[in-house]
Amino acid sequence: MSQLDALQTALAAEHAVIWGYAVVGAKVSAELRPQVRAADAAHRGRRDAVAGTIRRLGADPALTRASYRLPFPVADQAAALRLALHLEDGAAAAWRYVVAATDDRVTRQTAVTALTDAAIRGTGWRRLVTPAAPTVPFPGS
Amino acid sequence: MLVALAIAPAGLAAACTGTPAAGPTATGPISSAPPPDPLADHLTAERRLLGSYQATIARYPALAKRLAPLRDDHRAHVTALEQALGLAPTATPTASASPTPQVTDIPPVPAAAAAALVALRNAEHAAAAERAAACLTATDTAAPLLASIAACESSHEALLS
Repeated sequence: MSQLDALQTALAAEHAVIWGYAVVGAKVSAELRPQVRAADAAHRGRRDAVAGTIRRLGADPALTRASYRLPFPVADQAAALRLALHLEDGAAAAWRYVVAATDDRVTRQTAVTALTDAAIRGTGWRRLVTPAAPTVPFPGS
Repeated sequence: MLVALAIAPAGLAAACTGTPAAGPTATGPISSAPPPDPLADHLTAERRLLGSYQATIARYPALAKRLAPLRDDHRAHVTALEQALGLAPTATPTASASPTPQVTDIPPVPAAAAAALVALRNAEHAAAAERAAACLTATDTAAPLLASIAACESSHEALLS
């Protein structure tokens, strides 16, 4: 996969994550909503930045879909938290792939930072979903 | 149109396993000494960090429940780096409280549990920065491994804060 393809994949992932966080936000309690909003804002920033990078490379950024299919039903807060974890794991995987697909140091730095941010947010959700195992050894893999 | 929320593309899993392929310098002893693999320094650092967790848990058993998952992550990092370097795994018992034998310069555990947690947090911060910096100039094979270890260590730092 080329650097451009990997960046388009990361952008597509960010689109999906932003859509997913709207679902998460609708099912969590008020005290968790600031955490959801912060995650959503971070991913919007990431989305806009990577879209700009793709444009500078001369390509058209991948567009968001009208709708996505959830990986499992999200009817309550417990499921919403699992979805949030799923979203961050997916973002981490997409950005980890960018790390491997580019030799450009600036792009790789961006990807490492995005992977790290997704891992930290993922840990924030994971400690609520599986408190005994709040981390994974290789985020994004 | 409904599209599955598959946020990583098909085939990505195979390319992103936590078990990296052995590098080209990892095929066994050769007559002239090869240049040291840059990953060797990271293996040493991960062994030291693992040793710090083991020493801290041995000194403060009350922290074991909280620290054991993080210690286990570092054990996985050591194993992955050993594999990437083509080394035979060091068959340490999983529940061993003694530091990995090759590591001799494990920092002393602070004399209070709170200070010990701060020391681990600071060590994680430094480790994540080292791994992330090295990732920028690493090979395409080593870079994702270093990036994931850095991300894990940053998540540890967040948990210890």
